[in-house]
Amino acid sequence: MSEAPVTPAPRVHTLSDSKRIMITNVNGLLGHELFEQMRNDHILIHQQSEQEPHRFLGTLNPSSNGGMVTPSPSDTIKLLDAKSKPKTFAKQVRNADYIVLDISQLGCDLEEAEAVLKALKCEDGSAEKDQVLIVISSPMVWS
Amino acid sequence: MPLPKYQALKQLELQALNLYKFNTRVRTNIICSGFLFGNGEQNDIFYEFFRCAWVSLHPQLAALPVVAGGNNHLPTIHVKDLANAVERTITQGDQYADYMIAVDSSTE
Repeated sequence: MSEAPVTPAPRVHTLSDSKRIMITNVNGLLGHELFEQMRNDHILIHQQSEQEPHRFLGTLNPSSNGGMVTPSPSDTIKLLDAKSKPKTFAKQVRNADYIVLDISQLGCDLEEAEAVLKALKCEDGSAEKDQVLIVISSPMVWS
Repeated sequence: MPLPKYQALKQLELQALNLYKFNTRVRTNIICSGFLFGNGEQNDIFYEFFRCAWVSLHPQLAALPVVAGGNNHLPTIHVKDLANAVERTITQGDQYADYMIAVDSSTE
């Protein structure tokens, strides 16, 4: 029995176009790992490429872990706040290419998640480009 | 029907899955991930278990707790595996189902 050849999946950091990637709860365990996997700024600098690196947007989970809020993985991530600047937040969500909405973390802001979905609805039909929304959910919704 | 604490999450999942009715240019995939671990155990899920196993030299105190018959396996996933799954879904998600469960194969 012969197995079909496995084609490696394209990696985000190797994409030739510069993408806008939004990660909610970017200071969490998954946010740190996603940023490290998908960033390409260090690779492009090393290769001395003129290609634009991916731009990262993120939101912070303010719930403290042992009395200390985990910091953002990098200063290059543009931090957004859905409560203090809702219009800017909605605009940035609509401009993002890839959105990772993490609602599995303890203490995540569900109002912020609703704001992301509301911004993506675009009920006036003003969607400008193709977008990908990945929602990370918890197995406890099956409890 | 999930527990009351998680009903809001279920509603958000449903809203995300219905997003295509309002915006056809958005592709939505939901990944239901197991409990996260890895990268130095930054989260608290397994902290107590590791502490029991590592710190205590007393055989009974070092024993890990077993709930009921011990047949209830919790779904888990390493954070790197989940990040790989997310990245693969971003690039190739149109070939996958709208709702996926990401867990590792550790059942023993």
